[in-house]
Amino acid sequence: MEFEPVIGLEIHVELKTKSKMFSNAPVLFGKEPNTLVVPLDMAFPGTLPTVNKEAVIYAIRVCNALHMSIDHELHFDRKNYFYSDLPKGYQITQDKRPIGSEGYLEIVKDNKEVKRINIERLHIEEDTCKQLHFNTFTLLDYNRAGTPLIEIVSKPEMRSGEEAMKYVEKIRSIVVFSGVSDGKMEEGSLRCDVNISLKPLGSPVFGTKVEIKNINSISHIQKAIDFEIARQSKILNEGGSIRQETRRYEDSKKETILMRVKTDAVDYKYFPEGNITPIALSDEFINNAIKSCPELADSKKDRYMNNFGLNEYDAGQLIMDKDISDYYDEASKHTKAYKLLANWVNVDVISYLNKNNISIQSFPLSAIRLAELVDMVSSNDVNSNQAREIFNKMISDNLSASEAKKALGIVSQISDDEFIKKVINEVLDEFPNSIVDYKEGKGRALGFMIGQVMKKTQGKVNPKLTNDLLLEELKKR
Amino acid sequence: MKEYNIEILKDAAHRLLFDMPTEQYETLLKEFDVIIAQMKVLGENPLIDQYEPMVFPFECKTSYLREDIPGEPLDREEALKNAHNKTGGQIKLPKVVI
Repeated sequence: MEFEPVIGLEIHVELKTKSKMFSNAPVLFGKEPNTLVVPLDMAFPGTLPTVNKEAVIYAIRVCNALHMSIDHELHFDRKNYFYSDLPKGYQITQDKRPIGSEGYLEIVKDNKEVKRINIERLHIEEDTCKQLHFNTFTLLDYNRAGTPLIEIVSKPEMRSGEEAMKYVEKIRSIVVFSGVSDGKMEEGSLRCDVNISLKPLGSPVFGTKVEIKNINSISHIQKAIDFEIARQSKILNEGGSIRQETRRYEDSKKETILMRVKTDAVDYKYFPEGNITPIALSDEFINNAIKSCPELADSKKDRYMNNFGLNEYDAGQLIMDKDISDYYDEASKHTKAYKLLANWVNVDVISYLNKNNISIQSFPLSAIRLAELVDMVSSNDVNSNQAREIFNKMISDNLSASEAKKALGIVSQISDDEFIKKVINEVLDEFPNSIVDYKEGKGRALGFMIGQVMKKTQGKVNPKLTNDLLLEELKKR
Repeated sequence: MKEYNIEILKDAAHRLLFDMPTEQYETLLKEFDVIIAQMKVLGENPLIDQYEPMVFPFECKTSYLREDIPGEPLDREEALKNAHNKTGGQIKLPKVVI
């Protein structure tokens, strides 16, 4: 029997605020355990929560990017459970009234088909503490407890691992470009839970749902779902039934592993958080949050294509990484050779970063210096080989393009038509046999004549211009 | 209804990891008497089930949001003072998950 997968995703995003969601404890990564806590995080009696303004602004930005309705009142609820990851005995979240509801995003599949995925809700909540489990004991670090989170819940409208992966890529791009999160899955600042069931193709009845928790890379999402589709299909085709269970993806085995079998849904006995009164968000506040949002990837891509004349591939490459696109934007303020600049960023800069295993923030060449080099190439002052020498010299000796050119003894290319034509004609007069060879279709003759021009000018003439002018002069002979 | 006495209040306080002078427990017990008396009055209202539960006693909407400015965290020793068992600056618990 053929089955249709039904996939929904819950994504938790840690917000890049300076302090926690409901306390003013600092939010930092990689600090000594339990050094970033204040009394509220440890649930000491008498402490009261206050709502972080920046976290609300960030949530609004993401709601807007996801075309959601934004609630003009903030309401919080308690999700009650007894576990060591939150000492209060409950998590403050938004159950009844999420800040964002009924949105969507569009994904572009590999076959170029555009699919809209509807999003049910986006709510604000607090993260739990980090637990390190050993054989017989568990260690608790409350530094992360209370870090602001948004949870984005999709409708179960994805039908393949590829669609789910594209969806997460898009969410990640939105939260990173809008400046609300670093979106690093491997560090846990973007975490994804997948709900997946199979139903007979065309059937309106959903099958039993399996949850895959804590997938920590985008590529694992597709692999985990593809494995799970195959696993569930096999069970159903063999006459078995799917258990409601929670699984995790094990990349070393390329399969999902059972964590626990679910019985009834846990009753968290949600009720309104009495320590936070409803908070009114004015139109002005919401509009400012939206207006102050940095440019998103899709908008940048359109701008690169429409204003800078880049093709889709080049523009797409630049927006793969926000910091790279920011670097390109900065450089593009200092040159008009946008296409050439894109080539330099996408090829030479990226290759340097990969080779040296560094990020663009650690790249030693400033955007303005790269723009100067690109202008040199664009104006035919230097050829591309010379430009690469200059590029390396700029990096190694911390020089500007003109300083590196001087240090390397590179003389500006000659692009004077009349001068080049004069030298070409000298060469043609000296080597009449090469003209005959060229006319008889011997390709090497052209290279020989260009070589002679280069020899006479010590390689200073612009090679492309020389080639074009030589072809013109040969036609006259 | 369960009877409240000072021992029950003390037990609750100790479970919450704090303690108070005896006279404060006595004050608290008197306050419980008032609360329980009020609950009785509410319970006697035959229409009580027709009222929606209230979270706040009156309309108390605010627009206050805290600026995102980090404060000084607790000293780690102080933060972990109530933990019975700790190691390497972390609270140590028996493992309860598989």
